[in-house]
Amino acid sequence: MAGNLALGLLTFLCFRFGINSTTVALLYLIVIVIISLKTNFISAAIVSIVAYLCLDSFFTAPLFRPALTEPLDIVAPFAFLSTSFIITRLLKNSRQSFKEIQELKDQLGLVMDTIPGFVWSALPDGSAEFLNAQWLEYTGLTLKEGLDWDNKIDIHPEDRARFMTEWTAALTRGKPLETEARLRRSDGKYRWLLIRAVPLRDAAGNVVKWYGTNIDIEDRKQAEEALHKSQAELAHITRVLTMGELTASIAHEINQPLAAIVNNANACLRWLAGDVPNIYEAREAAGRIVRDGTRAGEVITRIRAFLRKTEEAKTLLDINQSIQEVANLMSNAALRNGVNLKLDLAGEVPEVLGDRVQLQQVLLNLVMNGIEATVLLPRGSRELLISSCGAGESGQVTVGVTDSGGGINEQEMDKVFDAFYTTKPQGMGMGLAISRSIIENHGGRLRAIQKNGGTGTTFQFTLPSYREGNL
Amino acid sequence: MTEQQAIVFVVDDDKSVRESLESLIRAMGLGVEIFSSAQQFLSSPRPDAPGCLVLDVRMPGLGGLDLQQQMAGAGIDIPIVFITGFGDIPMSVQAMKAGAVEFLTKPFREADLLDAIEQAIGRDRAARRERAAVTALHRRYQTLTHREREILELVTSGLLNKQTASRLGISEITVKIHRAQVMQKMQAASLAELVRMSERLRLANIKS
Repeated sequence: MAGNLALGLLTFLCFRFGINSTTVALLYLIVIVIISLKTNFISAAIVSIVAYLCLDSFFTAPLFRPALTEPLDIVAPFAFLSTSFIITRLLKNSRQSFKEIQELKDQLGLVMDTIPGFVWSALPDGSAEFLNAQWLEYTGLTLKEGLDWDNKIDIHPEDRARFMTEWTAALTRGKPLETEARLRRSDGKYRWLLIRAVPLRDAAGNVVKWYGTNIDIEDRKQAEEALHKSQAELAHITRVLTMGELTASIAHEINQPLAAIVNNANACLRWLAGDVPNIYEAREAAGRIVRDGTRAGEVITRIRAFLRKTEEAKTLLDINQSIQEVANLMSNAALRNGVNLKLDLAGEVPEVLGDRVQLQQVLLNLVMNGIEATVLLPRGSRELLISSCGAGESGQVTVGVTDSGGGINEQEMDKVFDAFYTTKPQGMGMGLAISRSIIENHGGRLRAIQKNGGTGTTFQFTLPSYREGNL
Repeated sequence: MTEQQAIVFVVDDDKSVRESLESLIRAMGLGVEIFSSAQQFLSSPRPDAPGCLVLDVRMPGLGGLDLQQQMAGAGIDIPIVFITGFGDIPMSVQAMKAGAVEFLTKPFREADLLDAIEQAIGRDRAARRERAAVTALHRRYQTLTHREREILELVTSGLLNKQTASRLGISEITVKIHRAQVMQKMQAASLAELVRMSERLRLANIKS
């Protein structure tokens, strides 16, 4: 054993040069520490015992014979053994800890790579630190490439600016991120991902790391879109069918009294045209005309009441909230058509008394029109802005929907609100007419404004704010 | 022979329309009876006079087209003028194919109604005349003996007296006598007329 050899050499040298016992004891201790660090307890214990024997034999009285005569004779072995014990023990624990840590690290790595999701971590400056195996496989990048994510990860050009803005904002403010964007998969297709990141802070509150997960929501998005689309179609068809049914009912309801009136009038003429005019019969016929005419008027009233019955439910509304809801509903449609939908809502807007569903219908109509107005523009210049403001003393709330589309020319401006006027092949032309009617029912005005010198149209409506006694 | 006064039957569930039609048709100089439902019309006794039916299409319970079918099934032959508040094309085609005289949409022009009613009544008068004639012929046919009917059958099919005689196994003279009887009983002035009478009876499915 190298330890014992070293011990022997050391003993010889010390004896030769007559080093005193205390110094030798300390030198022996150094050797024992070194041995303890390198071997196990048994070996170290053996060396300790040998060291003690040497010490007692060669460096303490009586010379060349181990005997307990000085305090050193008792303390030394104790010191040697306890040192070797403590050190080997410490080492053992330490090694055990290292082993456990390594095992945990391995396990963590396995978990990270097995979780059915894309897991990543980043440093506070936003640079990539770790990407799990699933993520690498999805993007088709190697770890090295993936870590260079500013260059290598391909976000859809339409989403890139928005995503970078949001990511940067999150990094700066240290607030969790949740957003959606399209990324290119290894097969070249862009797919929607839900991207979430949370910051890890130290005790002082500084961000030390970002942890994130991405989930492929392409299928969900498509399902959502399909659902929205079919919901819209259903609503449309229901409206059309109801309109069709309604029209048939209305036609029938009105044709009856009309036919009776015409018959009675003709009868009246005949009765009066005879050789002897039959005044009695003629008068009877005229009386029936009055009656049937009145009845026709009642039919109209009934129909209008019916139409109104399906709608009216006025409550106090925050118009900004309604706008937000409509914007959320339309965000998909806007995204799909490459339209940049922006909101510019005033901070404080007085409440309005209105029918939530009806006002949403107006907003939906205006936003839909706005999106359609920009469809001929190149992607990138399709803008739609919804704005709101509450004009202080006048007590009015103003909402505007502005598109960057081709605008409306002079002649059409007047007709645009007419019922059954439409430029769309599939359109019924009722949208703006109904919208205007709804706004007017709420005591407001709806009008179209052309931008001076530019293209684009603003559809603007005002609503009176709710004030006590303002009904 | 003076023509019998025609009657127009009106079936419509709408009171205003019913009353207005009643007054109008009377002012036209026609007899009129009004009913508020198809059921009521079917279950009421009908006078035996030329007439037509002015019928609304959409009615609760038995509708106009259903009534048309039922009448055809029951052999009730009154010509129909349809009126409707809807103006449904497939419906009108169906009605016309089933033999209606006209299909008018409310509100209709008075002239159109009058034309249709006159056309319908004309059709009914012709049908009644035809029916009466056939009935008369049938009555006469009933008076023929069995042998006389045989003679009628063979003679009108183009056989000569001689052929008829040999077919029946009787003498030609006998045939001539029977033939004269038939002509007299049927009140036919010529062979050609007898043939026509025979055809009419055959068409009316009466001959045994």
